[in-house]
Amino acid sequence: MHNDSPRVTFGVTCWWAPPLKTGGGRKNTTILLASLLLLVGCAAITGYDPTSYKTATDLKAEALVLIEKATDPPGPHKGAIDGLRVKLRQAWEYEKGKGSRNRFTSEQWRLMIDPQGNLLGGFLAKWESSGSGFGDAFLQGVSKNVGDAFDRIIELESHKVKD
Amino acid sequence: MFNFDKFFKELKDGVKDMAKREAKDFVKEATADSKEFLDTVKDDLKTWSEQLARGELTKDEFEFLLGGKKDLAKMEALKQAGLAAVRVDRVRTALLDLVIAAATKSV
Repeated sequence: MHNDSPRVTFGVTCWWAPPLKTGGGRKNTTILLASLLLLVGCAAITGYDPTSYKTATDLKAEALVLIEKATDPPGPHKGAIDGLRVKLRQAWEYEKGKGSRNRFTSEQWRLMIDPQGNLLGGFLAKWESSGSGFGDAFLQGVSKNVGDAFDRIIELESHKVKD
Repeated sequence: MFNFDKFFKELKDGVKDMAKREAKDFVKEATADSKEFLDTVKDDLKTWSEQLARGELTKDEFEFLLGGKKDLAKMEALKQAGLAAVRVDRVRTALLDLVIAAATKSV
């Protein structure tokens, strides 16, 4: 591959860095420095965002508390269910707004809130459509899955590069 | 006088070491995470199967929980892909530091 060939890495269009050769003198140095300058502006993923981290940890706590209450029918908790849905949607929109370099995190949120899925969005939809409460065994299982799913979002965010 | 050959040798050696180290660490961490995930899935499936047999879970609830594990596997895969991208950025930053260090030594 040559030095002017575009290359897609993790959804970001970057420019190929040519292989290094020794003994090429000034020409090689120029190519190397030009390649490095191009690399500087070519991050593969967004950096750590404290707002994203806090949103994920706050919503995890809020979601798990609401799941515990799902031994009741959904009616008395309609306000809490709708409120949580809005916050989840806001979180997803915030992550989507960061663009393609944040696609791993935004896709995680999409899975989390999908009403057709089997995580938090799917659970809230199931609770409302059932019109009744659930048993402890089921709620413990849901709580485990949803908690673990939030942990995947939180772990990825916490490993992103901090400025 | 700037010594180009020394500069390139320093850089090549440094890049080689860095690539080896980063790749080794990534494989080690990804393998440990995957093993932990599979162990958790196994334990949960065992628990839920027993609860289904005892009538503590309905078939519909059991299937919903299984679907949750499938979604969770996708979340884990996205996390691993994201962590790989983070590592790419770390290597990129380290590469720039390496160039500066190699150039300093070659003057």
